[in-house]
Amino acid sequence: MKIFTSFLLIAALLAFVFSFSVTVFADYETDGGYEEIQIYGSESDGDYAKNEKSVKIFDLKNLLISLAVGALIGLIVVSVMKSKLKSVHRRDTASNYALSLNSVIEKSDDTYLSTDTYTTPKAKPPEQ
Amino acid sequence: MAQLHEYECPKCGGALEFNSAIQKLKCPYCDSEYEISEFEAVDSALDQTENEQDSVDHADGADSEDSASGLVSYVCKSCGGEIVGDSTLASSACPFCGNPVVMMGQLSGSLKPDYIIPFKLDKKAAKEALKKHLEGKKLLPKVFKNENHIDEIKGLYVPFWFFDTDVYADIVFKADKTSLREDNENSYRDVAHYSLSRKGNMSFENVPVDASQAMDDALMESIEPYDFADAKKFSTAYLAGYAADKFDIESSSCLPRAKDRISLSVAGAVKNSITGYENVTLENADFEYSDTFAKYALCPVWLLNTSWNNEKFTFAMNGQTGRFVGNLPVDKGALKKYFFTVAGISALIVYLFINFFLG
Ligand SMILES: [Zn+2]
Ligand SMILES: [Zn+2]
Repeated sequence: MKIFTSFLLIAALLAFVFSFSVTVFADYETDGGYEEIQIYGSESDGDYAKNEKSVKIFDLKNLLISLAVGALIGLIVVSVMKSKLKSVHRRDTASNYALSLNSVIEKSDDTYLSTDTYTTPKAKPPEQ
Repeated sequence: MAQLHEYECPKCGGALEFNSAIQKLKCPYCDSEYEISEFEAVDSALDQTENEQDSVDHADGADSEDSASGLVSYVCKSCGGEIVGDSTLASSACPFCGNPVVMMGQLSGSLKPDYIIPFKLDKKAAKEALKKHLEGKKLLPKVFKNENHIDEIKGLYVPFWFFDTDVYADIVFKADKTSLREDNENSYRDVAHYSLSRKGNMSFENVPVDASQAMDDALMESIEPYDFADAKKFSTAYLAGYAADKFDIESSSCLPRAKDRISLSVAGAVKNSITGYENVTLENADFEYSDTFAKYALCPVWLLNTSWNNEKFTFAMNGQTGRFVGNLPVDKGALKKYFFTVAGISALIVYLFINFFLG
């Protein structure tokens, strides 16, 4: 778990540095429209100047998502490897010793209690 | 308490050992082989009452028990050396002459095991299993394999209680059934709640619980299962050449552990039998046990103690099935290396994927 936090810390630091540079860069170049660039890149149609720049800019949101997903995958892989080193566990069940796991039920009784209904309004069809 | 027995070779007088490969007693000196049944006369002595046994022993003056330390000492019949063991030791080898000896008093009267599952695998198999156990573990420190040395390897008969029982279960679950419907305005999800009562019987046979205080319970449960089909009527001849302990936890104290595991199995089996519902959750469970019966049996375990970096590591192998367990140390440096490599590469791939395919 320690390793996971340290990775996120490094990720956050990187993100901070990038976001700072993006902010400065965007502020300078686009005159106030940086928020859109910083988060989404620029997608607005027709604005070629903005579009050209967005390709070069580090995308903060995508970067953070990538780092988080990467850290998660790393954590899963490492815990699988770690679990291979641990082979001493207590047993939860005694199923190995059951004479038969099937046809155990002699009496079953299903009682209806109540119903909850969840309603979702339908999207109205577009009016003609 | 402390009568010793050695199985002497009728031909040469050497101390016989139980050989797991041929399932017979074998003389290490002249290679003669003997069936276990040839030594049954010795076992009939075990059925004498403990009182008689005690008085004989004290007359011999062969035993002294230091009740404070829990240690018992015996005098080896072959060499006269003193064998010291804790009060649960039932069989051992003389540390001076190496002859296998059996402490008869530890296994007589009510202490006599009902069954024994003889060793099927030998010391060599245990050593090889350890080697295999260390293979393919990427996070194991590389030097562990080379620097880890076996301090002790011993074949030990561990006392177990094996429980047979019938259990009547009365379990109530809560569960849902979901259906969808719609009209012109809305769509509806109806979640109907049910209470499900299930009653039934299940039988369990030979649920093992280790009956030795000194043995790690998790270690013993990890090398399960034992196949009780191989269990033999107990005879001390099987112990020749192996260490053995007698039980020091009563069956009544072991039964709750068996019941815990059994009740979880039953609840799981009953839950699995429920179909056509969602979100099945257990609400209440009652279990009634009947025809509960405990058998006292000795089970074969190879114990390997190793040390590395001043830390002790204990491995255990099921002497019947070969199942091998034991926790291993983690290489923290390798752990970090693998984590950052995997995390970095996958982050890069995800980043490129988002930017070039989704962006
Ligand atoms: Zn011989
Ligand atoms: Zn001796």
